[in-house]
Amino acid sequence: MDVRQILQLLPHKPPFRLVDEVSLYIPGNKLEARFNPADYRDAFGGLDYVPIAILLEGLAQTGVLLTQLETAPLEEHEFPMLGTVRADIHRPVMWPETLVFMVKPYRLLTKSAVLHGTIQGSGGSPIAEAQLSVAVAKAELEGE
Amino acid sequence: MRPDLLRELPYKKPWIFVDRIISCIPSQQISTLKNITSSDFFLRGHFPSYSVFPGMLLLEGIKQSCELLVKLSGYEPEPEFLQAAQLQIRLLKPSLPGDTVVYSVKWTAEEDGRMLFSAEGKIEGVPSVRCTFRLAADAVRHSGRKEGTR
Repeated sequence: MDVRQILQLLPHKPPFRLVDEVSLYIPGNKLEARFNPADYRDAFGGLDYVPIAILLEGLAQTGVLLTQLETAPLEEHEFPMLGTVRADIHRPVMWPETLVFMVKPYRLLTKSAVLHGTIQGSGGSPIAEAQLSVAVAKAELEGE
Repeated sequence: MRPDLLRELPYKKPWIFVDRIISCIPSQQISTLKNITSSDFFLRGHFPSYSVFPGMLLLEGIKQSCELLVKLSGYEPEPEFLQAAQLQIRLLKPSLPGDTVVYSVKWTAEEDGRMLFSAEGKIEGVPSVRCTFRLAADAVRHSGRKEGTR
């Protein structure tokens, strides 16, 4: 699958889509994506720094993409759910900085995955490192 | 307890993830709540055909509860508060419109001088999220307010 098509697998939409583009996918190895948060500054609180929730959510959304690519795409009425996140946040991030999310599979199951991820600035400066688990849940629809 | 949250929290709407303070013991613990509704701004994208409150926004709600506890204890979070931290969060069940998440946050000092915030969120008494933050001791400073001492 072309890296330009991979983003179509992401069910998250604005104002909570935190991946702008997929820049690299090596099957069985890693996925790299980028996000420029500057346009969202007011919606995300308007302070000097990008909230850590946004940093980690962008990494998780990158993980949702990799999990689907390495297992199976989400089916109708399925949605991704984060499980556990353990993270070391190394430094604050200013808004003009482009974020580079990179995730690698640690353990893949049919409908879940444990991933290792890093966040860097566009110049390669480390921002955070995390281990996260992602699973697929079924939407509880009324009448079902 | 209804202090002006928009004054206590420095963020612009819609980045406010605490609706009310239930109780606070300065320098020790705080209990807050967040009501989740279908009209939440970020649920437009999470997801268009089904609403589930993002786990990382529960994290932000816990972080803002920590900030309120720090402020009501007579301290001021540094601008970099929680921008350099070790954290762990475990999401136990989806948070859906109609749910009220009640956060309980405890603040303790560790032997090495770092601060530890331990939090749990419950929906109707059932744990939905657990979280810990470890921060450097200089992540807060005295504000001169008299609400509490540490």
